[in-house]
Order: sequence, then C-alpha cells, then structure tokens
Amino acid sequence: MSVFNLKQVIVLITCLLCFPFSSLAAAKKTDDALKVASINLCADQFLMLLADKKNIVALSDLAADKEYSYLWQRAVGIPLTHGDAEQLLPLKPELIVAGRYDDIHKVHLLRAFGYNVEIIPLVENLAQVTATLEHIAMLIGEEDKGLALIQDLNKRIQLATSHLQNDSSNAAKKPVAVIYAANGFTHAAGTIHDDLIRLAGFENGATQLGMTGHGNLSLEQLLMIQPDVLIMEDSSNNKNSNAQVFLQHPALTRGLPNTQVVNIPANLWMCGGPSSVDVLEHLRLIYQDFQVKGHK
Amino acid sequence: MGFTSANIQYLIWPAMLILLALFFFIDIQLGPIAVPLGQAISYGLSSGSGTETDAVHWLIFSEIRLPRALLAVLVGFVLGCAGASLQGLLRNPLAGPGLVGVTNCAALGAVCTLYFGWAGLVWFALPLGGIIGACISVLLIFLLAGRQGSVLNLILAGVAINAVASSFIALALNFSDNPYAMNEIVYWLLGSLSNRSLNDVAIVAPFMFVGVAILLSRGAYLDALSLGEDTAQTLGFNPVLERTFIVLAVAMSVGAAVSISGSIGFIGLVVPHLFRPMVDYQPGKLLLISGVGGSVLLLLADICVQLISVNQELKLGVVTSLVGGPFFLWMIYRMRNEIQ
Repeated sequence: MSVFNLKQVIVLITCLLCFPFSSLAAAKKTDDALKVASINLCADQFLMLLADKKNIVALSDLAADKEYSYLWQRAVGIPLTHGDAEQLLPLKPELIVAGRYDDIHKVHLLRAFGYNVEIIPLVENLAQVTATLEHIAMLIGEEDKGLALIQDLNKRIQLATSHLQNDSSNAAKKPVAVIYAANGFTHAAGTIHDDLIRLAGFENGATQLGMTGHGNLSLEQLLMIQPDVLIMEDSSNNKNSNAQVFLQHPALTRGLPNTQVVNIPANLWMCGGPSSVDVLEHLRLIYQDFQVKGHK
Repeated sequence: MGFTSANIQYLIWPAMLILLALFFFIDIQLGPIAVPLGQAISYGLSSGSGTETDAVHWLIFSEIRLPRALLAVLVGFVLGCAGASLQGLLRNPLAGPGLVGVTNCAALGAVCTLYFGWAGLVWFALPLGGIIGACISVLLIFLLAGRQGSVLNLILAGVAINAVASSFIALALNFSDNPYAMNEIVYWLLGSLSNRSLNDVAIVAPFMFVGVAILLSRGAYLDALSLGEDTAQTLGFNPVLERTFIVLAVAMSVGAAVSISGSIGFIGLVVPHLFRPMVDYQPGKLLLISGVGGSVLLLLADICVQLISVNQELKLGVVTSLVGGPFFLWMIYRMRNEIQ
C-alpha cells in the first residue's frame, strides 16, 4: 500500500513540477496540429483516426454511441456537443468540421462567431474515402499520419478487390445482394454502399430496379428481386418500434427461401469513411462464402 | 316518381355491397409491382404447383395485399359504425372518433405499449393499449362536454384532447430512444395500412367484432334516444347502462382498429352524414350502413394511396383528411347558426 502511495506522490510531484514546461511543450507542438472540433458523426470518425486525442476538443453527441459510431471507444473522455455555438465557445476550437447535411443555421452561427468551419463533402464511393482522409489530414496538420493511414487502407482495398482483375470471366452472372434495414431502408446507385457491394463482386438488386440514392424498398419489390444475399444492418437496440417490427413480417421470413441472410453491424455502415473498407472486407468474405455454398 | 327515400333504401344496400366488392378487388390488384392475380390464386389453391415466380406472387397476394385490404374493410367499418354511434349517443352531428380525440388517444395507448416493450408480453397487449387510450378519451369527452353539451363544447373538448394526445405521442416516441421517431410519429398521427400481416389482423379482429356487435345491437336505444332521453327512459331503456355499453364498445372497436392502423381521420365523421338521409334519419338503421360505407371509403382511400404514390409512402390519413377536411368545413358553414 505504502509503495503505491509513494509512487502516486512522486508522480504527482513530477507532474506539478513539469506542468509549466509540459504546457509550453504542448503549445509549441500545436503550432502545426490544430485544436479541432467536429459536429458531425462522420467527421468524428475521421478525426478520431487522424488527430491526437488531446487535440480533439469536441465531438458530436453520437460519437460515443456504439450503435452509430464505429470508433465509439476512442470518444471516451472527449466532450460531446450538439454542435451549438454555446457549447463549443468555451472549448476554443481552432477548426470545426461539419458534414454536408448538418444544420446550415448552426454553421452560419459558428462562422458569425468567427470560427473556421470546414464542411466535409459526402463520401459517395470508396475512392472518396482516401481523398477525404487526405483532405482532413491536411486541414488539421497531420499529413504524415494521414499518409500512413491511406497507404494501409489502399493495401487492404487492393487485397479485397484483387478478384476484379483475376476473375473477369465470372462477370456473366453475378450474385445479387440487397441491403435491408428497418422500414425497408436500402441503398442504391450513387451511394458508397452500392459501390462496396459491386466491388465485392455482387450486383445490387435495388440498383437493378432503377433506384438511386438512399430510399425504401417495398416488401413486394424485395420478394420479386429474390436476392441471393440479404444484408441486414445489425442493430441491437430499438427492437420496440414499427420500423423494426417490419423486419419480422411473415412475407420476409417465409418468402425468401433461397436467400442467405447476413448481418453487418450498423455502425460500420453508418458513414462513408475508413470503416467502409471493413465493410468491403466483410462483403468479400460473404461473397466467397456464398460461392462455396451457392455452388454445392 | 323521383327517388323517394324508400326507393333509395332498397337501392343503397346492393349498391354499397357491389362497391365494396369492386373496391376490394381493385385494391388487391394494386401495389409496387404488377402481380397476375389469377395465376397467383390458382397457385395458392392448388397448394404449390407452379413456378417459383407464382409462389412469390401468391405470397405477395396472401401475406401483403390481403391483410392490407382486409384491414381497410375492418378499420373502415369500425370507424364508420363508431362515428354513427357517437353521433347518435351524443345527439351531435359533429361527433366522430377522430374529431373528439378517440383515435389519437387510442394511438397514444398503442404507442405506449409498443415503444416501451410491453407489446411482446401478451398477444393482446397492443389492442389493449389502444382500447385503454380510447376509454380515457371517451371519459374525458363526457367530463368536458357532457351529453347535453353544445356542439361548441364538444368541438373544443375534441381540439384539446387531440392536442394533448398528439403531443404525448411525440413525447413518448422521443423518450423511447428511437432513431425512427420522426417517421413513426407520422405513422401514428396519419395512419397507414401498409406492411401489416395476417397475424396483425387476427390479433385485432376479435376486439373489433365484439365492439361492432355491441354497437349494432344498440340501434333500438339510439332510435329511442333521438326522441329525447326522457322518452327513451319511458320506453324501458336504462340510459346509464346503454351509454356505458356504447362507450365501451366504441373504445373497444376503435382502440383495436387504431392500434394497428394509426389514427385515420374523418371517416367516422363524414360517413354517417352521407347515409343519414337515406335511412330516414334513424340512428339505429344508420349504424350498419355507416360501417359498410366506412369500409368502402377507406378502400377507396387506400386505392388512391396506391395509385398516387407507389414508393413515396403517402399516408392513408392524408387522403382521408384531404376529403374529410373540406367536408368538415362545409358542415361548419352549414351549421354556423346552430353552433352560435
């Protein structure tokens, strides 16, 4: 016991002694790395990967919610805000990143207060993931870290899509996949989800129907597509809602006898970003698994 | 010989039944995709001989479209019949389950059972929630407007009950930590019949049947009541007992209906007015025909929804309100002297 106490005292004293110097050192170091805040879940993910934790002064309120935020564990201890100027003011961010669809009034207000607000464009395909990563890394002065991450992601993407060069003969009849979430929500042409499905070797059934963007696919349409693989967004809570009850409709459980149902956690899908590469790897595994089972 | 009321009485029944069958037939034809119904049904009847596409078509017909059309018939019947009963009981032409707040309170009850996870406990939890909500609203109406209350009192009580119920629905949905809250608030306040299954129909139908049976059996009392409460009493009716029966039956049928469809407005208000002249202004005779009329009107509304927006998910209540709202305005215009 006494040893611990002694240790603690030493640590405390050291900290106190070093405090003026360490804060100076920090001040020196932040010359190139900015104090940055995010008011958007998807921007949160980029910041949590790129910035040092001590340089993130605030994240969006969803950043620590594991249902939505892939990197929720990293958000622990960082202040969360709803993006209101009142909340951000005392945190003194040097840069605020926002999403394309965030409340424009909040952005205007923050800008009126003299903040530097950068709006991150929507990530609509896999190529934009690395582009966005590079862009944000440059904004917050973490170019080296960004470059390392991009190299790593590119390596993984190359591995997951190597089949595209190899088995082009297979292109004749690709298996059909459909994403299906609560309320019949799905993702079609022009979304990163669609891009990932195709890169993994599937056709997107919703896109084949002529759908674009994000929207609802009716039960009837889903039954007619009869996809080979149905990708559900796994979400553990919120079972008590009409939207979730929808997924237990007897037509859905009985009407797709030849469909393989798989789950990909919702927090991986939620944002186009580095976690999209994880989704791609998931999908690729599902594809390989289907090839084995499907051609029995 | 013009159309005497006797003539119309004879004509109205076959006409309504033909319309009911016709609209039912049209409604099950409509959906996001084209389904050859004959093939699908022959597949279903031959218990599984046909192509895989036929199997899918049969499933779409039996598990998606049939429940939708059946619910339109049942919910429409309940709303029309309950509207006629309430108008007879309160002797007030502006009483309707939507206007006086019964449907919104029933929706609130259903919302509470669903979103706080009680719906899974017992099979009848959801309709029971709707019924309890409906009961509370009917009690409130009697407290606030009373049986002898003026039209104005009734309307104001309805406005207040509706406002409170719809705000509580929004509040309950927000408290339930539900990412679909906005969507579902719209669902419960505007009503929808899509994506319901036969199981859903089976759960609510018993309550609707019992409620409607009681309402239809109270026709004689409503006829007597139209001559005044004293006269009704002299004719041997026990007003307290009769009133309790009707109120509970309205709550039971409307509560069960709304717990599955959300609150669909104006059917109960409008339908009795359309048929009242055709049944010689007899509240008793009005009950059954209003029920059938409600079914026909709701089927028609659902047909419109399917035709107007295949994928946009226009809510059913939007269509009924588009028709019912102007009708209500016209009624107020016509009754403006009485109301003052």
